[in-house]
Formats: sequence, C-alpha cells, structure tokens
Amino acid sequence: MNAAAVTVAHRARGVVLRNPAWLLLPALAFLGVFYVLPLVDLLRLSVAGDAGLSYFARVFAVPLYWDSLVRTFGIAATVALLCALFGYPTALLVHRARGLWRLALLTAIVLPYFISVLIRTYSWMVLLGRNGPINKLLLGLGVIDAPLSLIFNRASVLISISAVLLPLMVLTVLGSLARLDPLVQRAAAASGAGPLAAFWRVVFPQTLPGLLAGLLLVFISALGFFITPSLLGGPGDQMFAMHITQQADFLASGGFLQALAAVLLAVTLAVVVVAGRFLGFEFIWGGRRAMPTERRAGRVPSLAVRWRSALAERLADAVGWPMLRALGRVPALPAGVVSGALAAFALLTLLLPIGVGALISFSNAVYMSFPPPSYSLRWYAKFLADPVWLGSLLTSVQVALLATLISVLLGTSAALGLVRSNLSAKSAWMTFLVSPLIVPGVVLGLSLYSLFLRADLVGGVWGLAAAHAIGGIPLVLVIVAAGLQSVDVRQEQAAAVHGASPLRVFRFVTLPAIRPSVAAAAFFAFLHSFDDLVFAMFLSGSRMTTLPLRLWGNVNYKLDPVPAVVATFEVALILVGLFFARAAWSARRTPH
Amino acid sequence: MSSLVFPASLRSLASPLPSLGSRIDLRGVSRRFGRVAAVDGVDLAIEPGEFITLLGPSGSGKSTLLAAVAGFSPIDDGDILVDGRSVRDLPPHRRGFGMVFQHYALFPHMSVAQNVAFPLRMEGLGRAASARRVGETLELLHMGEHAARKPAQLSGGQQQRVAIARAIVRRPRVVLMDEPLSALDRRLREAIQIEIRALHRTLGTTIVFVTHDQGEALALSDRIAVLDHGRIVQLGAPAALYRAPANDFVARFVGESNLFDATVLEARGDHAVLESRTGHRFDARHADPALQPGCEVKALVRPERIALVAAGTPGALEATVESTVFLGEILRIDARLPDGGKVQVRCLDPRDALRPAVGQPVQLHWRADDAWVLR
Repeated sequence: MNAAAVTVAHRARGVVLRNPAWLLLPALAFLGVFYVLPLVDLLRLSVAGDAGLSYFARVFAVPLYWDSLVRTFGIAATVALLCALFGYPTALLVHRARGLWRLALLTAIVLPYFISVLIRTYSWMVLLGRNGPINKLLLGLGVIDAPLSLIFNRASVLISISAVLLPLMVLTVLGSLARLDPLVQRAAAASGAGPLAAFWRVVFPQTLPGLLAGLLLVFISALGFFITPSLLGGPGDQMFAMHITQQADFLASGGFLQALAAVLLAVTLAVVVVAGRFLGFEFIWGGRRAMPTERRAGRVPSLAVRWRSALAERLADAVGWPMLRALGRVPALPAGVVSGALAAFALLTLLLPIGVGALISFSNAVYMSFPPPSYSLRWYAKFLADPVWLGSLLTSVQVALLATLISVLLGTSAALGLVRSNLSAKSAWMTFLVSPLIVPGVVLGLSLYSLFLRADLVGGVWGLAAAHAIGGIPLVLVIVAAGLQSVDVRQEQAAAVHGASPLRVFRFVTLPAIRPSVAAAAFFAFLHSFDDLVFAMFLSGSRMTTLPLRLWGNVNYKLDPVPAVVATFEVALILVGLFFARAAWSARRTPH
Repeated sequence: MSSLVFPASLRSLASPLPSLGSRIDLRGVSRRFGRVAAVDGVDLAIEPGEFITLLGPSGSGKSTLLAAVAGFSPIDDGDILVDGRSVRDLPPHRRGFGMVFQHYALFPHMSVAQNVAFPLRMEGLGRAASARRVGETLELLHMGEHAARKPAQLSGGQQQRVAIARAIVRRPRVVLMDEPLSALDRRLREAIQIEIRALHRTLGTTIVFVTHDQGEALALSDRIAVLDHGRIVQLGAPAALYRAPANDFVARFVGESNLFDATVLEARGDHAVLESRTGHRFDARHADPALQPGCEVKALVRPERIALVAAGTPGALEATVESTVFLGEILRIDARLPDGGKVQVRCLDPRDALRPAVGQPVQLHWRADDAWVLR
C-alpha cells in the first residue's frame, strides 16, 4: 500500500468516526424496505391494471364510504376536543402536584398509556355493559328501573376513544407546562394580575403549542381507529378504517382496499402537513420548534395584515383587557374546583377500567358478571393451563423480543447518527424517521400484507417483528435522542482528549450515560409490539396467533374474564417496568 | 453603556407624578418551614423613598423575607405595614408593588413593549396612554429601539433593563428587587448598578433590594440589613457597617478583615487599649459600654488601613511577607506574625523597587481610629 492510499484510508476512517451520520443508514435502509416501499406498492395497487382511478371514484361515489369518512372526521374532532377539555386540567393537576402524590398521578396516566387499546376497550365494554358496574350502580340507587343500553352507540364510542387517547394529551400538555419558568407567574402577580388573569394571559399562551400538538396527535390517532368503534359502536358508528379491516379477509377486492387505505393515508398526511406548516413538524415527536425566524425588519406589513391587527387591538381594548381585569378580581377557588373536578373525572376514566378489569379477573363466576359473586383464581388457572392461550402468549413474547432487538439496535444507531453528526436539516430527517408513528396502522398493515404475500413472510415471526419495528424504531429514536441531547458533549471530548478512541468513548462515556434511555426505549418498543393487534390481523396468516389476536377473537365471540386476566398480567408487568425505570432514573439523579 | 445623560423624557416623567415611596414596617415577621424558621421575628422600619438592601449568604432568609413583603410567601407571625396599613391578607397582585426577579422572568411570548405594558393594562390604562408611558420608560432604560423584540432576542443585560422597566412603569411606591444583577457579568453589573441608583434618585420610590454580594450592597444602599439565620444581625448605613460591624460575622461578610485576639487593658469612653497575645499594645475604638479591663475581645483592622512603615516606628508590628499579589491598582500582601497569625495588607501598588519581596520582614502600622473592638 503506498503512502497516498494509507492517507486516504486514514482520512476516510477519520470522517466515519468523527461525523457519525452514516449511523442513520441502517434505520433508513430498514424503513426504506419495510415502510416506504410497501406504501409505494400500495399506491401502485390502488391504480393497478385497467382500474385507473375507478377505485377512488367508488370510494367517493358510494355513500357508505363517503359518509363514514365524514363521520370519522367528526368523531376524531370530538375526541380531540374532549381530550383537551379533560386532559388540560389533568396536566395542570399533575404539574402542581409534588412528591408521592405526583408520582401516583403520573402512574395513573402512564399506566393506561402502556396497556393495549384492545384490553382497554374490553374494560369499557365491561364497564358500560348491561350487567356492568355502571348499570348496577344506577339500578341500586333506584335512578333507573331497567338496565340502560350504554353500549353500541356514539356516546360509548366517543367516551372510550377519548379515554384511550387521554394519556397522550395529558403527557403532551405536561411537557409544555414543565418548560414554563415558574417565576413568570410571580412576575404576572407582581404586575397586578390575579391568579386567573395570570393563567389566561401568561401560562395558557405559553402552553398553547403543547395543547395544539396534543389536539393534533389525538385527532390523527383517532382518524385511524377501528378496534374501539368495532367493539363499542353501533351500525351507525362505522369509522373509515373499519372498512379496510372488515374486508381484508376478501382478497377478491383487487385494488379497492388499497384505494381506501390511500384515501385514509392522504387525509392523515394532509392534516399533518397543514398543521406542520403552522406548528412545525416537531409536534410529532414532542420536540420544541426552533425560534421562529424574526420578521424581516423594514418590511411593511400588507394592508390586510395591518387591518387585521388593528381589529385585533380594538377587540383586545374593548373585550380582552376589561375581561382580564375582571378575571383578576375573581377569586381562583371556583375555577380551581371546576378544573379539579374535570381532572378527577379524567383520572376516573383512566383508572376505573383497570380496577374493574382487575376485579373481574379474580371472579369465580362461569359467566361475565359484576360484581363477581365470589373470588377465585379459576380464570388465571384456565389461562395458564390452556396450551392455546399459552402458545399465543409465547408467540407474542417471541415477536416482541425480536421487534425490540431490531428497534433498539437501529433506533439507537439512528439517534447517535442524528444527534452527534453535523448533518444539515436534522429536523427533516427526524420528521421522516418518526413519520411511521402517524401513519394509521391499518394502512401500514395492508401495505405490508400484499408485499409479504409475495415474499412469503406472512405468518412468520420475523415478518411480524419487522412490521412492529417500523413503529418501534421511531419510539427508540425519540427517547434515546432526548437522552443523548442531555449528555454533555464535553464529557465525550474530555475522554477523547485523554486518549480514548471513538469506540471507547462510546463504550465508557456515552453508553453509560444513555443506558436508562435505552432501557426505557426497549420497554416502550417491547410493549408497542406486544400490544399490537393491527399488524397481527394482516400479517399473521393462519399459521400464527399472537395474544392480542386471540383476545380479539375471544372478545368478538363472547365476553368472559380471560382478557381481564391478561390485562391484570400486563398491569403488573408495566408497574414492575415503571418501578425499575424510576429506580434507574433516581440512581442517575442522586450524584448531583 | 453607563452613560448618565438622561433624556428629556425623564424630567417630564418625574415631575407630573412625584412618586414618593411608601413607608414599610416589618413587625416581628416570621416564616417557618417545618421546624426551621427561615425568617425569625424580623423588625424593620423602612423609610419612604429609602434604598434598603437585605444582605446575607444563601439560606439567611433574605429572599424569603422579600417574598413575604411581595406577598408570595405567607407569614406565620407578625405583620407587614405599608404606609401604616397591614398588607398581610392582601394577595401579591393587590399590593401594587413593582418587582424585578433574579432571572428576569419576562413573559417570553410577549414583545418587550407588551411586557412593559402589561402592568399598565392590568391597571386599566388605555392603549394610547399606556403606549406613551411604555415608550418613556423604555427610553429611560435605553431600550426604546428594542420595543418590538421578543425577550429571547435580547442579551442578558437588555432583558434585565426590560424587567426593570416593567417593574417601574406603573410608578409604584415600592419596588422589590430579588438578586436582579446576579446573572450578569461584572462590567454589566456595575453599569446597571449606576443606572438603578440614578433611577432611584429620580423616581423617589422605596426600593427593597436583595443580594448576597456585599460590594453591590455597599454601592447601592442607603441602609443595609445584614441577615443571618433569619434574623437581622445589623442594620446601618454602608460606611457604618463597614467601619463598625456588630460582630465578626458582619465583619467577615462585609469587606476583607484582619481579626486579632486581644485582651482589654483599659476601656474609657469610646476608646480602649488592647494587648495582643504577643504582647503588642495598641489603641482601638469601641461602642460597648460593658467593656472592662480583662475582657477577651477581637480587634478588627481592615487590610487597607494597615501601612508599611520604616523600621523603628513606635507601635509598629513586625511580620514576614509570605506572598504578594498584584491586583492592578492594589497590591495585596499576605504576611505572617511572629506568633503564627496571618495579616493581610492592601495598599496602592508601590513602584517595583519598593514592593516588598517574599520572605522579607516588614513593619506594619495602623492608627488607633482604624482598629475596632468586636466581642
């Protein structure tokens, strides 16, 4: 080897180690194959053959589909507003709580967030059922004479979807509250603003981006919902995604299903793009938008803008400030009571289903009844003795472990590549890498289905694990990137200056610092896979049944306490996980 | 930056609204957290228009006391009177004070002008009137050209000026300042100190200022209240505090000090004759009527009051130079006495030839007026 070649090789190695942008490649390649390619294929199939745009014409011409699209928008918007109404006060409550009380509240919010949608929907079916606790309570109080049918209607759909998505809203708003400078409220008070006025003019505007992000995340998630409306809705509550799953059994539909999915995808992306224009795409992963660019000095605002701001000023003078001054005189107590009541109700909708599920799992009755006539472990015994249930549990664990492995390796690598490189347009890369989280699961599932059929991956553990890693990688990326950002680069520089090679720097400085984040991310990725029903429905074939898939069959067929047993197992698993997460977290905190 | 040329608007601003400060009386104010008294029975009478500083190390209760005056921290005992009226049950937004916070606490979503207008609009002042007053106040703090910016676009010093503007824009009779300069670098701190001092003179408000920086307290205050463990240890004008500290905590906390253990030989009037452990006799001032011959005391001599004198000067003390530190205009000499005690001397830097060398013996001398007896 001559000297020039050595130098080139040396330089190449230097670049590779110094600017680790290449660490993004594995994740990009993976998502290219399992995420972008299937979606492209989906679009191709929707217009394939001599169909042209006829499938799309059918989606918009047949009232069944058009009506359900409109209905889906209405339901998603209502759910988003309900989540905001109940979630904001809940976030405020948590933000102001201290010590053990705060820990308890946080657990009450995070716990349901980790439990699968299917299980939580099941709990709502029990809760609202004819013989459920609510009917029992009302009958017992003598308010009603006969059980109400609380289920299979729009209200039950709205309540349960809202309850399922509420933690997302609370956590998003909580993030923006945590960034507030606590002294700013004092500054408002010292400037003559009463507590309500200070909240309205100083606290609320600063949390508005968080609230809007929450509204959007909930809205987008609700657009793709099908489990909850399938189980709790009546015939008049068909949501758009349900059409795709209900017809997925029929291969004969040609490209029509793909056209339906393409419409759902387009609608979702349109919402995201419009919102991203105003909020910045950072809302998807809970990041903060970079400082808005300063308005160019000297540019004269247009007449419309001037007119609008003049109108806004008039309005503020006539209504805003007098109202604010009036608010300043109102005591804060009634508002606190209302806010507290909303938060209490929200917490109830989060915890009640879990409590009822736990109670039912210990029932001794052969049939579903509440409260259980007596208690025993018979349903646990049934679950653990049944090879079919145990088999599906094993399959789920197997898939989830594989998916976690892929997600953690590729996600951590991508986080390192993104945070520690000098790549430009990091936000754009991040937006792409995180985008699988906002694409409705049914769309991804369907797109993978036709591709996996051809590659003979349907019904295999690896195929399903890969599908789960599509969402797992972004989860890991977001959590580990946040952890990396809090590691002082100067520690790494110090290690390098004192003679550590880049690999050793990673091994002895970076990795120990981000280990808690990686562990938390692995936990998230595991549950993301373990809880999944959507991909399993599309990709399990007839050979394989995961636990959620078996639960789904069970819940659709009859209402018995077995899902409650699974739910209670899962609650225990998550509580243990949270306990360890907290231990790791406080261990990291104590040295300071 | 530190220009003291105030624009014409200042006069027009000061004359129509002669905002005299309020009198504030703290009577036995206490605040306990669990068993610990953060503020322990503080009595303090603040004169109208006075600039008073609460000085103390962290944990001395100074910030808690200020928070109690502002209304953020409820008090467990005692009362706070403003112009003779109790404000104990008045929430902070009804007290009508202005306040400057340690890290500015500007409203990040509002422009500079909106931040400063906020107190006026809350008071009910119209748009035009408040815009005029905001403009004048920002001019006063040299921030007029930044009115449209957001706080995040300003430097620390600029943010602090905006915070001060917001605190004084209502012409409050009381302005509270909680370590307002601690986040700024030294030059900026000194520049803004001068401006705060000038603002105080112009506006005539009562200012209660909290700091842990003794230099800042000496430079700004009419009077300083030194706090320790939630109590006022000494209250007085800066010069009195410096020259006649009440105890060695104040002596050490305010300024540099040399403390010598000594025995009283004679005590008459405000003078005493002391003898150090090495038998060195010297005169000192005191203000303790109970001082008697035989008392064990400490004598305080400030380093800049000690002079290097020629050998053989009567009353001089011999010491050996251990190190010299060149501080610009000042030379700091650390010397050791024959009994092992340390002495610090600060003098204007002599020419190189006269600078004492390390290891060289020197003769130290101070005037009787410059030694002060501490119990």
